[in-house]
Amino acid sequence: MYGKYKIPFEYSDDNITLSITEDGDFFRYVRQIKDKEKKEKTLLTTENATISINPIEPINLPKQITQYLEIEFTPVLIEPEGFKVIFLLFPIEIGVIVSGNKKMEAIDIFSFGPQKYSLYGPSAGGVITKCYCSDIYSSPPESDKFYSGILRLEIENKTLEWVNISRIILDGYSMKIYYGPYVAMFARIKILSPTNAETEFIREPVASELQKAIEVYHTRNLSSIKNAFSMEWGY
Amino acid sequence: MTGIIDSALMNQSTIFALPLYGETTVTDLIWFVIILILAIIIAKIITLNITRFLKNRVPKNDLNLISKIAYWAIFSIGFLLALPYLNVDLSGLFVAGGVVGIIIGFAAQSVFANFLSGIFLIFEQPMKFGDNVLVDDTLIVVEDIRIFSTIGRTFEGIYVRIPNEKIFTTTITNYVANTARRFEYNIGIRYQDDAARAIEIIKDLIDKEPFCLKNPAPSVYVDQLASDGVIIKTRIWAPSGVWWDVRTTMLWKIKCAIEAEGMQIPLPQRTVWVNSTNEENTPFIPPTVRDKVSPKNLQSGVPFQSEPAKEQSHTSIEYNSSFES
Repeated sequence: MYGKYKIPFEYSDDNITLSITEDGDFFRYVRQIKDKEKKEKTLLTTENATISINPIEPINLPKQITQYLEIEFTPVLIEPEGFKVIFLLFPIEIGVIVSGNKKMEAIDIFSFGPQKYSLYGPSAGGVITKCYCSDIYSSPPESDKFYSGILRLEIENKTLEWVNISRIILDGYSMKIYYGPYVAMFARIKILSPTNAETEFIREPVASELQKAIEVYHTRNLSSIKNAFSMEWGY
Repeated sequence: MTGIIDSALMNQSTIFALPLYGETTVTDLIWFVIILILAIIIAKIITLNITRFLKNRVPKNDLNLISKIAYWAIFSIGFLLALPYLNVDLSGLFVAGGVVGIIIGFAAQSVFANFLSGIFLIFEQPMKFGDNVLVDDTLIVVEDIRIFSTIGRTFEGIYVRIPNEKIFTTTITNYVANTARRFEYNIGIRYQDDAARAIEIIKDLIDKEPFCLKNPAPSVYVDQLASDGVIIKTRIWAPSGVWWDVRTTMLWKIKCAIEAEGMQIPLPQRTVWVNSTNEENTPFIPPTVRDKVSPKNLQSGVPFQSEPAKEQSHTSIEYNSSFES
């Protein structure tokens, strides 16, 4: 399903049917997920437009109310000034992005997995996060690229204490997702103090078979891109 | 410093000491101009900074008004400071100004109070555009915060203008200022229903609803053994922006899910025992009921059923104060 398509196009498998068909001067986009409501949209464009389907920042569904993704995992204890790499899973949201005249727009975003939000920090001043629970893995786990992606997380403990870490908050504005045989992200968490940590994305994919996914947030022309997120309410 | 500059000017040429009119010399005139120029420069700098600071906080019209007021206020102070160099006697002006100021002050007291309150509100920011706030007794969606008043819209779509002074001096409840907020339900089930199963159902529903926050965790527990049923308290946190939608949808989902499991929301019930031992203590029975009472049943200690053939766990006069399905 992932990839670039010229319109009109059609894709179908056991779970989903996607199509853009010509209807007079219009193009009709239809998405039908098994046991879910059909979504339709009319495009006023030409055949020069292209469609990209790829995983996007998983913070849009069911409604875009936050820019943060929180991944909870089994607590791990890391030694003072230690450095370790662990693997987690993260949720997948799939974006259908139309491109024409050098501009892009997400015409549809859908997901096969469940959604849940959470609050990081206090109700006054904290942030709403899109929450996902994952096990931890010492090597890249098997994953269905339409349901979950693999997050390679570098944990760097800069303190002189043993610290417990059980969650990570990632900022969607600087999220870099890569896809190919699987979907992946690469991030780092630096533990700066017993209550404070900093997370950021690593832009270089480790595996060469991966290509970078189109980011929806960039297509929305959001200018204030912050590279690191400060987890000031614990980790 | 003034003395140094004065003496330097005097040393260079006596022309600066020549009176132009009255006792005003060229030096005085130069000082007057210098102070005015300084006042203009300071006014421009301050106005520029005010404009930058308030650019995204107040509407454009109000921003122009504030910057103009700031500019002319600073310029006026500079002008008044410079005037003595022209040997203008300000005492009369101050007296007249004072009297006029008092008159204007009384006349424009509320206008000035609203203006100042507007300035403070802009800095304090107890609410933003789009916030749901309760000001005094008025619940509004904030649409504009102006320099003299705040404009809102009630949920019925009615335009509301509230003077800033009132907002500044009254209690403001901002329902969406914080990131998340909690709401709660009291879910009643009958005594014969399984409360543990009901709690499980409610927790499962909350878990499936994306906007019911995982943290802070919801709490669902038996809160009361009330007269009509068991009350299960359900407390849920939701993002402030969507809490109302969640609150309205979840209640019905819970009701449907509980009923689907065979449980029922209890309706008010009253059990009345008739215990008459003699004539004087004969209980009052409403005429509508009295006709159905068998004299035999009114004997001491014999209970009476107003609704025949109903399943009851005890013998009593039992009737519902409202209908139960």
